[in-house]
Amino acid sequence: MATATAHHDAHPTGITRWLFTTNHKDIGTLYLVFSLFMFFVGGTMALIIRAELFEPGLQITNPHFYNQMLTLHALVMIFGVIMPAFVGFANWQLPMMLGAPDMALPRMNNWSFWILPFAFTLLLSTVFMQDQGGGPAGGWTMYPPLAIQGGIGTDFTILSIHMMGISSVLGAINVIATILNMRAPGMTLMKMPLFVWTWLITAFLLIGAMPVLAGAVTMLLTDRHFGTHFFDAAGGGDPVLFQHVFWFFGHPEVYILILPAFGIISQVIPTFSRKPLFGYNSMVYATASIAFLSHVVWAHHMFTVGMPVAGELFFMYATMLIAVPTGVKIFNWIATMWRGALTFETPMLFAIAFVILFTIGGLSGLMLAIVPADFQYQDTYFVVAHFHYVLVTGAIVAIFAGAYFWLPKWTGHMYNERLGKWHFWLTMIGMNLTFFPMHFLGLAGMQRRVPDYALQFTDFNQWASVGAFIFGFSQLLFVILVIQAVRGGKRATAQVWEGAEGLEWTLSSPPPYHSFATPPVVK
Amino acid sequence: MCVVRSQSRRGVLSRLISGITLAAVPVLAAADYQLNLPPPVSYIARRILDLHNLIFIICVVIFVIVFGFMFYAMVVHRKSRGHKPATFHDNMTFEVVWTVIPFLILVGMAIPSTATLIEMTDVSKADMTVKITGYQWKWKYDYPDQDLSFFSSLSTPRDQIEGKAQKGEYYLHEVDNPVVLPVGKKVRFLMTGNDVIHSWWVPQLGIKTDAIPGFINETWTNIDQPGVYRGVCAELCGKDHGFMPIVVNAVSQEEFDKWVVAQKQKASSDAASAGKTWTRDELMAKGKQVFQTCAACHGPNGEGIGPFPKLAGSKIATGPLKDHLNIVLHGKPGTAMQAFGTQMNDVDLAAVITYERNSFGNKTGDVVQPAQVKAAR
Amino acid sequence: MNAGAAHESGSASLVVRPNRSLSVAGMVVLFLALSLHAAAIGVWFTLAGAWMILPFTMLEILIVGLLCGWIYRHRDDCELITVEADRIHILKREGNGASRYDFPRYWARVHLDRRSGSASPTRLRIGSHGRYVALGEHINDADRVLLAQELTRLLRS
Ligand SMILES: [Cu+2]
Ligand SMILES: [Cu+2]
Repeated sequence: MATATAHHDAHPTGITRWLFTTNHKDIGTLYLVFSLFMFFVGGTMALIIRAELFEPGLQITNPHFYNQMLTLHALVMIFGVIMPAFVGFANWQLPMMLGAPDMALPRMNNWSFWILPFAFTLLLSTVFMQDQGGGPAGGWTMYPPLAIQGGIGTDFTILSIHMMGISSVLGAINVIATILNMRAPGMTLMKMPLFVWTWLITAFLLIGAMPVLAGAVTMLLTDRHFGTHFFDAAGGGDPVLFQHVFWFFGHPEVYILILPAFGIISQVIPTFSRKPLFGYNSMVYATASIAFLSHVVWAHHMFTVGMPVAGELFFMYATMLIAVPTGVKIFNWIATMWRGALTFETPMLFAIAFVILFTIGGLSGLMLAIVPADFQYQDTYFVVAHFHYVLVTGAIVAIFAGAYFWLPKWTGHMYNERLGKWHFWLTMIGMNLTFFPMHFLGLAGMQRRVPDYALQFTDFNQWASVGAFIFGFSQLLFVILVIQAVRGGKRATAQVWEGAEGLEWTLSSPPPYHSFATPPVVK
Repeated sequence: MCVVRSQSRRGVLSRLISGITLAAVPVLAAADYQLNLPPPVSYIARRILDLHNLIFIICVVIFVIVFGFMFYAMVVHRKSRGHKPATFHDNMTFEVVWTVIPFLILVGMAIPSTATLIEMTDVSKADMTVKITGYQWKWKYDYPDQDLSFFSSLSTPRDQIEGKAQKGEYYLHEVDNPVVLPVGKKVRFLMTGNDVIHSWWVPQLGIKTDAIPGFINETWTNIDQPGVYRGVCAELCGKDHGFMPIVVNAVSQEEFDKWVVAQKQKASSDAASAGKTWTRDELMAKGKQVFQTCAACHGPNGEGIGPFPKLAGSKIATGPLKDHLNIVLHGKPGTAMQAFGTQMNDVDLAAVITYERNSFGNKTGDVVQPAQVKAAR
Repeated sequence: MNAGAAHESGSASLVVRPNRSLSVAGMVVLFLALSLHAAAIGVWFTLAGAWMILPFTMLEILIVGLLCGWIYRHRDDCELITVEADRIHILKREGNGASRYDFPRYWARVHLDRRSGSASPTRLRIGSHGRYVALGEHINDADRVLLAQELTRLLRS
């Protein structure tokens, strides 16, 4: 007599569970925890920078150490915080949104995460080698010939970038395979949630961009140690070639850092507007055209290198064109809110802040595209303000929106809404106080990547530093909030949010489909 | 708009409060803080400022209109006010409209931008040429027509940077030898780099051009009012990137001519002093001055900074004089140690090498004469 | 779920097959799209003098190809469970390999382990005398629960 017995048994716990897990939820958690940890590492570097810039003169760093901080801050925030956070979201959400049991390539999923801690250990260890020249100090863009002069830190950085690249490529292939191969029957491409769409396109971009970065840093390495002259004018090479190669990777990279954010926002806004997303199709097309255009605008990072006029004009027009699909997205989000029934829980607050502040970054980006004006903005704090508006008040704010949005689903508990609102408002005050005055600093003549400045820049720098410390320390509230939600609290319902729709919400687990059946003939 | 320096330190709190007021009353703010590009002093800089103001205003207007709708929705279409959600999720007309209108605005912005860009790149019919070379971390100016050449580096004393002395008015924006240009003349600039990429930026002239080793970039200006215009290196070029300012002294043609003559006299008197034999004390005194350049990397007491080697007791500074001369004159490829033979005259080099070999505990007793340097070149 | 089950003198069978939404043709198109895009970039840079990108492009295409191959080999992964009058046969097909198990029907037990707190909350095993084989590892939890019920029902009938 056969029976189905239901009983509890112990699941693997402790370190081995996390080391060998192939489960998408576990790996998603690992990515997110890693990202949060690195957020504080990169944030500490930012605060060292802001502390140094609180006053003119050199107070707490020397210029060489300062340059290491600004370089590592960028590398950590880009490759250690924003990208892993989005991969973490993808791991958690893609299978749930698609009705799949897991990611398509679970074992590889485990590898692509575990490469990261090693890569960053390697990268950050350079800070402790000050006698050998310390960490990379030539900026995250690693322009030669300056990068050729760097110490051993540059070589460690190149190696760790290779590791991060492998991790990203494996992750991207996994995402594509999951989305295309694991969709539940009936989940056609044009029914996929927008978060899935933006990740699919992001993964395509990653696969196109990563070999370019790997090649670029390898050529730096061989120029440094193996006698090649790719970027050495004296040996017949071309230092500007590196910039072309780097930004051919770099511009798609900035969309890799923002498209998943668009996806998150496109999930959050309809939920709290209690109204379907406006213009789903045009959202998908806009995302695809942004991705396409991202391949032909790279040289807008190098308008001052002395390109032929025709080249400058081409890259100016192409860059300006990106404003059109980006505008479509913003209009669609606002149209989604229009005549909805809005409520303002923390995820929605972050999403609204994203739309407003990202637009500021987008508009300053449009200004930067105008070549003659760019000659004044290039390499100044105006640019610093621009990309922090895009990446911090853009990508990071979207990550917070997503984290608050899905945290109840992941932990089974509601987070502390009051604490969430405190976190939101302190973050808003801090980040805007930090980054908004930088526009003025840049226009007034302060160049970027300097540890010291002329006296007329003092006031705005002090605002920025005060803002940065408010921003930095208020992130501790988020850590407290997450720990609280993991440990307990009000139980979340399956749907969590009143207006939530999609496979991941409507059922406590994805709906069953006919994954087993009785076949007509046996052997 | 004027630039006001904060000689008197206000408290952080009062700064915060003034900041909030500033955000609220932008007109007032303009009196206190520089919020826009500095006043242009050339045709191109003026065109850029106009363009910047135009696109900025367009962006602000777009922002206000778009988010006006959003804020209206946030106030009126709230669930807490009992608003019931609509169900629409598509509207072809609107979607076409908000694709086409931005496109047209962009075309409107592209036209003046293109025109300005074409003017900026027209370097033909220049009255004179100045070649600018970026070094780690100073600028070299060559006037081929006037047969002049000199280096220009930061003149702010180390003590001010390290907080041991009161900071002067032009802290970090002052140099020993400003570049002098005549007003009302079309000056063509040729930019290149000696070691790494630098970028020559003077906001009031509307010029920012990268100085790239192995390449020559061209740009031009025509300054319309005499004055002193300050700028900086804009491209990260290593440790002292923040310490290589630019000062442009725009003067009338007569004053410019006088300056050229004076520069030439100075050059010939320098040449004369290179011929004489210097005493050890003279060399040590001068060497101490010149060593400020070296101290940026090797430390004020030759103790080295991070990756930059120390000189105190080092093999180079205490070993054979020939090696010491060689590395100072020709640099060390692949490192930040440059060929100072192209940057300093024989007297300075002789003095600084003498100084290095007899300071920080180094006791070689060597006295190096300018003639020896000349011979070693 | 039991509709149309093949019955023949008290025997029945079930096929457990994870859902695959990508056809073989779709996979070829995907592989070509990814690799041609990457290759075009690599070749273009090679022509511009930066030839060291191409080896990485090729490495990437190789990885994409290997993984496509893996997915292709596993496209027909399934578990075939045949319940006969006195025996249960299980055929697990994974990639190019297959493994067979069989158990006396009378002694067979179906275990559905619920693991609270774990990322994957259920595990389904079938077997007897301490020999167990996991079933339905590549399907959704909800499906696994249904599969457990179905199997239990079949064994009882
Ligand atoms: Cu870009
Ligand atoms: Cu510089």
